[in-house]
Amino acid sequence: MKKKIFLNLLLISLFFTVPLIAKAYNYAGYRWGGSWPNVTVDYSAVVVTAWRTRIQNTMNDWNATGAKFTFKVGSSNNDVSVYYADDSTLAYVQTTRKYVVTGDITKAIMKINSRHDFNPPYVSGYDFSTVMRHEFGHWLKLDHSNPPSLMQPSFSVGTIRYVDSDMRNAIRSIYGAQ
Amino acid sequence: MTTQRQIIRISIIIIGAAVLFFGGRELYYFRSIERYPLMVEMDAQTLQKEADVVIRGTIERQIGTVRYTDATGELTVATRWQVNVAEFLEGHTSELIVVRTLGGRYGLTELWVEDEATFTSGESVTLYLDRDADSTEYRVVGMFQGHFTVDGDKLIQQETKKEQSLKDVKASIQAEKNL
Repeated sequence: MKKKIFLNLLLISLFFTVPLIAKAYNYAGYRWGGSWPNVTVDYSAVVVTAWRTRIQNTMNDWNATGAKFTFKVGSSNNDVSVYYADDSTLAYVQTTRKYVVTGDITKAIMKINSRHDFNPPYVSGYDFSTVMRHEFGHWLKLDHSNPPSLMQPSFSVGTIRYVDSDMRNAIRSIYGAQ
Repeated sequence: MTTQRQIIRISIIIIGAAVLFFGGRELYYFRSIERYPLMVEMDAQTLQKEADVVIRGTIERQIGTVRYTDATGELTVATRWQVNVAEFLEGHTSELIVVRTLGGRYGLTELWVEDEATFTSGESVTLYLDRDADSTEYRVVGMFQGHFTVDGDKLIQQETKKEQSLKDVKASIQAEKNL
């Protein structure tokens, strides 16, 4: 009898916790087309060497998730660039679906706001690698999630986030596992 | 009779050309854009420091959308809202102001912006505002972070449901002024 009650309670708790686990990420609902999208990113407009290295490294972080999606570097209209605006935006990603019929993304860009202090080159600043990991998460079509998460909507100085198991599961679920 | 026919023919050609020109031009803008800004986390002090104006008032109505190339060089659509100011908590401007929120539809262009402030007509609000870089109108500081719905003395940030007291906000602004 006790065993039965315990099993029932276990099932009930699983019923409530599984959806919570599943909601660790938010998917925008559309993605890059094809069975294994290879998206070329052009960051030649970024002149800070330390930033270029980190952009490459964070693309590799996402490439290592085991999902059928690959970031490549090269000449492309999917570019990363730097701008200055006197506002609270650290960076943004913009994706375009020019032909709404297929629903697939045709272009993505990333803009980094140089108004803010990033680490590097600043010792006390917003962690540049975390910001890049977050932005490439959007590039792959993840929406914002509740904190603490790589995809939380805002960061404080010094916050560091990684591509964790939630993010790996998210990308594998969107693009399929290798 | 022949002259009449010629006038009709020319009119049809002119109207057709105009439709093709403007329609073709609009097709160039036919796209759906999604923008995902990552923001600086802002507490009450930071919002206050970043804002040109802090107001308490009412969202009167939406007054249309605009399409333009923004300061970052990207095609943007913004929705314009008429706001009736009841009280200036910080700074001063006219009692009827226009606040732009990013996103909306203009012609065949649709822009969706994650975490932008979202208004409803008749909503009682406290807003932390900054001059928009692309116009003479206002933008909400920190997007959803600078938008609070007023419920008596309670200010509620819509997205996070974080609450603060209007009295405390006023006291904090006054303390800043006295420094």
